[in-house]
Amino acid sequence: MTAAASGLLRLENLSVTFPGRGLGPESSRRLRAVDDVTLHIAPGEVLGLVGESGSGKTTLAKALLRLYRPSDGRILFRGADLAALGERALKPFRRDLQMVFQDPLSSFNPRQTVFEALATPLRLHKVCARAEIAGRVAELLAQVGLSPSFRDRFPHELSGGQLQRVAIGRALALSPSLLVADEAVSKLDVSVRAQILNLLKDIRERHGVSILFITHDLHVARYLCDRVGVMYFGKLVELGGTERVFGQPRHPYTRALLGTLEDALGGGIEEQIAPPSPAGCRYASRCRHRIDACGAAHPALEAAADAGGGHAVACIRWRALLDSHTTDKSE
Amino acid sequence: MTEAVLEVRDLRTRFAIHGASIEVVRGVDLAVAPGEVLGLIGESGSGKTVTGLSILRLAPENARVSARSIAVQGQDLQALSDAAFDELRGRRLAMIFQNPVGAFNPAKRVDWHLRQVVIRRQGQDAGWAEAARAALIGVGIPHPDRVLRLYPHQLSGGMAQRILIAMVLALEPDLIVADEPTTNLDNIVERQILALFRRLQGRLSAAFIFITHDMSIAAALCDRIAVMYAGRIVEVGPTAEVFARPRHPYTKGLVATALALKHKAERLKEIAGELPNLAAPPPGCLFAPRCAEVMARCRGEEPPALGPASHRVRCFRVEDA
Repeated sequence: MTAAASGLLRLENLSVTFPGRGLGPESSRRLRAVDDVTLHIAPGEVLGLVGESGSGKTTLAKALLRLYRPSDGRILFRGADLAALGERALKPFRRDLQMVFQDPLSSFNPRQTVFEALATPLRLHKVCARAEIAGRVAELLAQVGLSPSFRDRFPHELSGGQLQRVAIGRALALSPSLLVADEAVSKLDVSVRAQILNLLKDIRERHGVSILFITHDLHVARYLCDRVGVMYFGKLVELGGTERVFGQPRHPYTRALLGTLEDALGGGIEEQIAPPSPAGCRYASRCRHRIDACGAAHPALEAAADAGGGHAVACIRWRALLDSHTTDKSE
Repeated sequence: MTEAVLEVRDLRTRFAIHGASIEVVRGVDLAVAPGEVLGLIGESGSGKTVTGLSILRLAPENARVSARSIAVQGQDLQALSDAAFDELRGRRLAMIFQNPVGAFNPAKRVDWHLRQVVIRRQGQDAGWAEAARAALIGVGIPHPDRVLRLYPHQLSGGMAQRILIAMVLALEPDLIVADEPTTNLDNIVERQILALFRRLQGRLSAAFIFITHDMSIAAALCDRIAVMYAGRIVEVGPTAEVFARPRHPYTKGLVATALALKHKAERLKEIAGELPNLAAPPPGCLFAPRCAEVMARCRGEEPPALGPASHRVRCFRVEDA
C-alpha cells in the first residue's frame, strides 16, 4: 500500500455490531450494522457515502469518530489505530475529527449563545490564548458567511440554514483534518440547501479539509463529492470516482439507485423490498441478476478492471452484466 | 378548463402563537379539474401543508381558517357542520399523509382497514373481501391475501403507503390531497410509488393535489404546478411551461437549482437570504428582500396575480415582458 492510497484516514475491515432486539432466537443474534468495510479518505478529499436508510452509513461515521466502539477492524489515523484506543488516549485525536449533524437545532445547547458555542471548543482544547478567543470567533463567523451580529444570538433565534452555518463554524474551530457531515443539508429548505453546499465546497478548497459526506440524495452527492461509496445493509458494495460510479455503475444495486422514474415506470411495480439475504450476497434477495453462486458468500470488493482509477465493486457478476444497459430499466 | 372539482377562493389561515397572530396562508386561490394533478410546491414554512389541511378542515386547533369559498363540486364546504364534514371526509374527500404507518390503527390488520373503507363507501360490507383484494392488486401488491392478514407494524414504508393509496382509491373520492407521500421513503421505493401514481393518473376522476418540496417530483407527476412562497401562490401554470419559462424570480431560482444538481454544475446558483418572518412580514412583495430583480415598487406594494389566466404570476416584472 502506497502512502497516497493509505490516505489521511483508513478503515480496515471495520465492523460494528449491536445486540439483537426482542425475545427468542432473534435476541441472541447480533445485528451487523457495518460489516467488514475497508476504505480510505485522502487529504482534502470529499468522500460521499450513499445508501438507503438502514444501510449503515451513519453507524460507519460514528464508529470512525469513535462515538461507537467498533467490534472489529482498524481505524488508522496519524499512525494510531483509533479502534484500539481508550477514551483518554483518544482525546488528542478528537479535535482533528469533527462532525456536523443533520438536525442543527438539537446539536446546540439552547441556553448558549452562538459565541459560547464557538468559543467552547477553543477553550476546551486551549487552541488560543483567552484574549484571542473573541477575534477567532469573529473569524469563524465570517468564514461561514454570518455577520458579527450573530454572536450574541441564541439557537432558537436562528433559521435552519443559519444554524447549520454555525455548526460548520464550530466544527472548523479546531482546524480539523476531517469533517464528517451526516445528512447535513437534508433538513434544510431547497433554496438554503444550495447555500450550504456551496459553503462546504468553499471550505474544502480554502482549508484543504477532508469531508466524509453522508447523504441519501444522489444529486447532492454528485455535486459535492470526489469519490462515492455505496452501502447496502452494512456492506460497501461499490466505491469509485463520482463520475465513474454515476456514469458507469457496476453493482446492480447502484444501478437500481440511479434508475429514473421512467425506468420504474417501464419495469413494473412489484414490491422489491425483501430482507437482506442471510447468507451470500446481501443484495441477492432483491437482485434480478442473481445466480446460484450468489448465495455462497458475500463477494469482496474487487477492482472493476476496465474502469481503473480505484473503481471497485462487490458483485461476482459485474463482468457478465457489462453487456446489459448502463442503468437497468427494470430496477 | 372543464368545471373544477375543487375551487378555493382567498383561503387564509392564521395561527395564534404566544399571543401573536401569524397568517401562514395568505389568500390562496386554487382550482383543480377532475382527473387533474395539481402540484403544490414550496419549502417548509411556505404554507403548502396548512393549505391542504385547511381545505380538509384538519388544521390544528389553534388555527383560524377563513375563505371566500372552499367548494367541492359546487358545494361550499364552509357551510357544513363538523359532523357533516366528517361524513364527507374519508368518503368524498381523502388525504394521503407523509407517514403512512401512522395512518393505520396499529391494533387492526390490513383487512380491517379495507373493510372500513368499503363500509364507508356503500354503507355495508357486502363483497368487501373481493373489493379489498382487487384494491391491493390495483396498486401492484402481488400477494394480497398474505398482505391482508398483516398488522401495520409488519409493513414496510413502501408497502404501507401503497395500501393507503389503495384505500383512498377504493373510496372513489372527488378530491385527494397527498402531502409529501414519498418523502419518508427510500429512493428506490419512492420511485416505485411515484410510478404507481403516474399509472393511476389516467384512471382517476378525482381532483388531485400533490404537495411536495421536490421540483423534480412535481415535474414528473403534475399537470399544473402552483409554487408557494410565504403563504402565497407566487406562480401557477402548466408544468412544462413553468419549468421551461419560470417567470417569478423565486421559481427561477428553484428551477435553476434543480437543474444544476441534475447536471452537475460547477457551482449552484443560490437564492440569497432566508424565508421572511411571517410574524412581522416585510411590506410589499414578501420575496423582495431575497429577490435579484427587485424594484423600488416591490418594497411598497404587494403584486397581484398578473399574466394570462393559464399562467399567473405575482410579480411586477411580468409587466415588463
